[in-house]
Amino acid sequence: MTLGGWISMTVTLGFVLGLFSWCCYKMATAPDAPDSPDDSDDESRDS
Amino acid sequence: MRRMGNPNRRKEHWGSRLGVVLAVAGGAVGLGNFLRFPGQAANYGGGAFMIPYLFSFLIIALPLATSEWALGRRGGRMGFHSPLGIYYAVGGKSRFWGILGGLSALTPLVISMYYIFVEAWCLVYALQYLGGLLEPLGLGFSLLDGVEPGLKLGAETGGAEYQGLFERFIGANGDGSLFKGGLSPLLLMTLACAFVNFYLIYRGVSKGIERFSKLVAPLVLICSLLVVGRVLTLGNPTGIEGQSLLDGLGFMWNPSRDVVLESGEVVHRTIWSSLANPEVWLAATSQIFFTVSICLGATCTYASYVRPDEDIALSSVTSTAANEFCEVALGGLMAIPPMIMFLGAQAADKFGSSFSLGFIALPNVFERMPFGEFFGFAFFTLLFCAAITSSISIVQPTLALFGDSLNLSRTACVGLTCLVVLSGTAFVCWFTKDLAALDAFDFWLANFAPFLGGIFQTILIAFVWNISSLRKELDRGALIRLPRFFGFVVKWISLPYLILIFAFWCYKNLAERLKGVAGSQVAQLSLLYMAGLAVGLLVLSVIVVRKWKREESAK
Repeated sequence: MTLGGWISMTVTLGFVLGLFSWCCYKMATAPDAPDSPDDSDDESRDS
Repeated sequence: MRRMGNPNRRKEHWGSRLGVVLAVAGGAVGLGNFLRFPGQAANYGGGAFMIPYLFSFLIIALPLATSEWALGRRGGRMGFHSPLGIYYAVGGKSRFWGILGGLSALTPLVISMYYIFVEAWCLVYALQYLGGLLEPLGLGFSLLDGVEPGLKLGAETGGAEYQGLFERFIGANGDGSLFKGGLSPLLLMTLACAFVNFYLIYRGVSKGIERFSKLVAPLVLICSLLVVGRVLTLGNPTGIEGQSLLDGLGFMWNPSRDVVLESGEVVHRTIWSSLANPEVWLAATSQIFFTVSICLGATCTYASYVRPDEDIALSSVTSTAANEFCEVALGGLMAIPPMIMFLGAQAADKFGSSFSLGFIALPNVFERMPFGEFFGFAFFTLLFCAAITSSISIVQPTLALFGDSLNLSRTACVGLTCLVVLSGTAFVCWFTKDLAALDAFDFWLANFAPFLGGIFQTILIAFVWNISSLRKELDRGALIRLPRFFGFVVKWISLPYLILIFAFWCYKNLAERLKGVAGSQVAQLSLLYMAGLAVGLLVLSVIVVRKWKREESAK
């Protein structure tokens, strides 16, 4: 494996591992979603 | 606006945020992650391939996947779960978008027809290795006895046997060969896989798909880590120069390398010459487009079951990142390096396609590897689990289509979906000679149609629904704020880039494929079959959209 190979493997794996770890951290520390009644989903809530 | 859709259906939602993320990621993680990606990366420049790959991930995969989640939840809030209903509702109750949404359901429908068959291959191979593992306990068995009497995967059979074994196993030597002498074990396993798929779908998104995804995701991770761990501790198993672990990794990741051309000439391909080659960009973008499973209808159908005030921004990024983790970090390490270590660099040309790599080269590798039967079992269990979560996700849009458009109970919708899907599966299982039917379905519906669907879907999101509505939908309950330029990227970068890549893809592939269709009766029959399904969907969409229009004007 050449130096270029090591660099491309490290950068690519680092990128996907970093992104995935950050997402897992955010998911794990996120508050639970508020309970929303089923009839609350009308378009007027958009405005 | 009032909720629409099927009033007879109980409203369904995902039970948890984690559940929907695992289900969507499970839908996206499939054979392509573990078999197609490594083959493409190794053939198109290794490390050099990763530059357009990551670029496409940032400007295609993330923006389009996130937009599809928003599109799906918007449709779900309006009472729709199928692409037909979602496109109709989000497209401003336009006939055109409704009918286009209905037609787009053809893609997941046809893919599910052959995916169940491929899933059964993985199951048979996994059970075959399990039979070998149980042999010392006197519980061994072989599902391939009928194919090759006495042959067991992982036994000392000699590498050359695997190609013939695989071809006989899938019936590639003649149409209808799987049906000769009663049902073959493969057909029985195909039926078993179909049963599991439809049972889980029948159980519903929360009790069926979500629970199953939560169970299977850790299993996929454990099996992947076992195989990757084995690969990374092999050293130089054959003792042959040029076949060590570092040579295997180098073949996968080195950005510059010597390439042997068809003429036999050896050329040195640098990172710059690879990046200057448009085919490398096409391969990388196609790979990223297909791996994230965008525009297949599955993601927007799944997202339509997300609760109205639940986050979708972080969930969409997380499921996309999980898919990339499986593809790059696990798939990138587990297939190509061991093949180079045991079979040498010349094997990469011979086993370039996904099926050859997975079902011919790797069984060959496991046979030579210490504890190969165990790792073969882990690998094919992993493939089977990845395949089944994908097939469930692509059957769901068809079920949702019948649910939205016909006033049927859930049981009737599942029964009807099962009937339609199994008719196509039977077609693929019959025309197995050179896998011609499967190949035709795969080319037109898993390669051509998603590009076209992706272009239309992005036009719908960016120009009809518009970017400010997209942002509003994404911000609803969001746990992360997407950057302000996100909408600009979707509208002015992702869409033109997708059109450009699609045009180039057509230029590279269409003429040759059409020539092939002219010379193959099965390919023509397959096209006819797909055209029949498309007409059926078109008629259904026209009738349903007309009915919805009438109901709207009556109010």
